[in-house]
Amino acid sequence: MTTIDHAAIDHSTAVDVWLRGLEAQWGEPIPARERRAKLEILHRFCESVDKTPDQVVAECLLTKNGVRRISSKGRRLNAQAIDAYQESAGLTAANTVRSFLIHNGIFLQTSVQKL
Amino acid sequence: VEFFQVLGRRRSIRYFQPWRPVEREKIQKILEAARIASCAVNASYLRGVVVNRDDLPTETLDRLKTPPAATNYDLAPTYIFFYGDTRTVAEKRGAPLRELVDVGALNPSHGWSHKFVDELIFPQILEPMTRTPERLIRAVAIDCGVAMCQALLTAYELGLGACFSSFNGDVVKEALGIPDHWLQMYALLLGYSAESWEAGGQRPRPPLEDLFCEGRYGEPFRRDPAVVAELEAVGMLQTPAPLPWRKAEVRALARMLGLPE
Repeated sequence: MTTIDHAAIDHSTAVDVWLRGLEAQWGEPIPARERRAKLEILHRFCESVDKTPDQVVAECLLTKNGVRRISSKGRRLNAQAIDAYQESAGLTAANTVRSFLIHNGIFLQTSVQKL
Repeated sequence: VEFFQVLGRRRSIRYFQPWRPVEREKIQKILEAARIASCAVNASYLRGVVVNRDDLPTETLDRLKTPPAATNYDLAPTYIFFYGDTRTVAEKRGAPLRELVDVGALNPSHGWSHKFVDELIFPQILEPMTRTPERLIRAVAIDCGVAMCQALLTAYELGLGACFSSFNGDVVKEALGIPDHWLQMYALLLGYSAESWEAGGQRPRPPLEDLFCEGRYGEPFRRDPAVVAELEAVGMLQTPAPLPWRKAEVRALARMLGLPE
């Protein structure tokens, strides 16, 4: 496993899109402490899959005939990785990672049945 | 609830109380409403299978969901998988129309008779339609939509929430033994709403004038403000979404149900 550069994560495009998306969704700035907590969760997920946030998002997308689409395979693999992460980190942490992907345009839903 | 209020309060509900089942008598009332819906040539195309979520094997439940509706399927306790029977007109050979003649719904005053049904309507119009997929599917889909809408509105009359949803037809067909001649429509997901009945307000729709014409194409049907005010007074036209507290409601629902934000 490579060491993930936390500062690089925090300033990555995908993280920026996520945090701006959250602020737009809820109509208010994210409090600093909550923001730190979210980023720490994302750091741990990225370490667990050994990828940067931009790589995680890119893996869920593909470009076909010049049109950007969601990659079924990439999305499924990352959804499974999040499910696995949930086993150790808990539901709230897993949903934080799902939120990261959702606000980056990757359609994901979680199973309520498994709660 | 008054009819106009039922129309006005209807929203596609996507947050159900997953723990609260729907009473069987309410399901029957919903089906009864669908059964008596208007249908061309008295065909009654609509068919349906009622399934309670918790009676389905987990693997089947996981496979039947389409991605955009997965959470809806998890939350709603009851589904009605709706189909259109593509054989019914061919099989009944005009009998439902003859019934309408017999009961005085279709009358000689309007040119109707058994002979007209037997010698013209069925052999020259209906039977050829059943051999033309484009025409048959259009007829089936339109009438199923009408009947499904009555089912939907009845759900709200009974205090339930509901949402139409797509589903994985192959999985449901195999799991429920659906015959080949049943044409897939939508599933009606039913349950008690976890959202407030306002569900954030009446959904945005295009202006009336953009949708409907008067006299000829391109001449908008002008909206009378007095009629709008009347419909607002009886609850059909309501405060449009988003209501100011909607985001807080959505956040609270997500947290209560363990969903992402």
